[in-house]
Amino acid sequence: VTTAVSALPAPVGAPTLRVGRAFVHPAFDLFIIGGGLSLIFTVLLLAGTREPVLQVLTPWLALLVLLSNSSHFAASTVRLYTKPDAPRELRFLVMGFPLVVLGVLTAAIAFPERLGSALMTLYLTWSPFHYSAQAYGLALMYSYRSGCALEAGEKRALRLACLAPFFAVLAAGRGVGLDWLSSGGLLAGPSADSARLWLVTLFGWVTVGVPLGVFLRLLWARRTTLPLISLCVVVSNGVWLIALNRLDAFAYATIFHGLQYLAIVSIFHVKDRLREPGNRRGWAWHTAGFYLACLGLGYLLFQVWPFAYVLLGFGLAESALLVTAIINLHHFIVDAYIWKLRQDANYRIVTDAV
Amino acid sequence: VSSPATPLPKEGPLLRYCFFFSVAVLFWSFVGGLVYLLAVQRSLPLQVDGLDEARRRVARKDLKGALREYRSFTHVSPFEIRGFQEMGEILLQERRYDEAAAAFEAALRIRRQSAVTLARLADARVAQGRYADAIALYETALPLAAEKARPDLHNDLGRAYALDGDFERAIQEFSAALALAPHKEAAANRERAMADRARVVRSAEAAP
Repeated sequence: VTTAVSALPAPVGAPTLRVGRAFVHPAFDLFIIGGGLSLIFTVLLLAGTREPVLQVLTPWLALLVLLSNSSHFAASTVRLYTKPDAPRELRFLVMGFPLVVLGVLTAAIAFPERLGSALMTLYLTWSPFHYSAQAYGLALMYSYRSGCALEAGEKRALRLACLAPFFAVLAAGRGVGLDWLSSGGLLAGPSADSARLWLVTLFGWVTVGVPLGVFLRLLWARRTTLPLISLCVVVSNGVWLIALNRLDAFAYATIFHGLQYLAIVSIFHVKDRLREPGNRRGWAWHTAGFYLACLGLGYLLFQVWPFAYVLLGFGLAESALLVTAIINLHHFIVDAYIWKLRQDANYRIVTDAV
Repeated sequence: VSSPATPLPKEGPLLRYCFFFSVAVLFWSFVGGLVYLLAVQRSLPLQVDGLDEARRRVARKDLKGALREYRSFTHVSPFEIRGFQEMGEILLQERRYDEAAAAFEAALRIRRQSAVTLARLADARVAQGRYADAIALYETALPLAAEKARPDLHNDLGRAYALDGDFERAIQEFSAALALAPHKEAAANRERAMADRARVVRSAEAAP
């Protein structure tokens, strides 16, 4: 969720620690959108309860991935094609971009060694950036909704805290960043490993320390502080990309990320629908309709689409991998546009409570 | 989900053609995919894995086809350890030890601390007759391995020592395996190693 919220008004409030102004309910916003649930999950993994927790969840992993992660990828597409004004404002994205995507995917599957692996690397490198950008957008969105006006330097600091886990993945992730540049040669040794681990630790501390610093600075200046949801969003992103990655539980991070996205995109969709003249349905109807559309499209995209290429004679390995890669890339690009807060519906939804 | 609030713009026929062509391709892709799944696989999967077809071919004993799938997977996703690990297992079963070792080495470049992969590479090295390399690999794998895998690893290490002619160390490793858990193979191997050691001592004593 890459928001451009600099144009928003700068409200003033009391310097206290608050959960923040929620869209649905403080608990829902904190645990689902803020990622609080994922922090509890991570504590359970670290607290010696890893085996029983994973024993319970692992049989459900495929279903959870479908319900959350696959659906969230479809959600950006569903949102694009149902967002008011999108066909007018994002014409190429709406009408021309699908053909580009189809062309790139087909070329990559046809030439998997030359194009396919490059597409995979691009997707794997972009993915942590997308996570971080979403965290930054949400953190900023909640801070504004909650009356916390950040100065340019504070915003930069918050962006750095959100991007730090992305840098950590670039430093230590397999197949991306430094690993990709060195092709596993120059940086393939125990000393290089420990240097990379040191960088990951450093970026981990930046993720936690910098937002805390911003919070204390605001408190010290007796300005309205960052809401707890914003802090939680930033820290959760670090936990997903660093801690869960290292705990071999990144699959669960994708579920939490998907859940977060589905929640916020549904809120925007439903608010748009409720505002439409002549609307007769309630929020539950619109939420269910939007989610079912995302679930159905997510299933078709991830579980069915690869077999169309198998039917054409390509292998399942390259088809499944590259369909996943292109859906991710499409999602990253669409996402970069549908959350822009011009003076449009998104802007109204974020600021309506301020 | 309701239809878009703003209708698609009338101008720009090229973009419109692009859009409707894309929608048609995607629609028929979904239909084709569903037909394939229902007619050929007779199931709708909850999750598709790029390695599914390779595993299906392994189950059907089509190892050549499986290896082709594994190679495609590792070419497109060269930083995912699973493809190399599973391919190495198949090659090991096929007694293609050089290729198996290469697959496990590739897996280890992705995750240096994988005890399972270290042990499997060591197995390939034993099969290649490179016992000293195998011993080094087993010894690296041991502290990294899960507790329940350690008796097997001690047994494998003992076997590598025995094949290398170091019966003393071999007996130590078989005993270590037995100390951790009841292990029929380690017990038999220890008996054999003790017999071999006695035979070596006897022939050394008999030598002029």
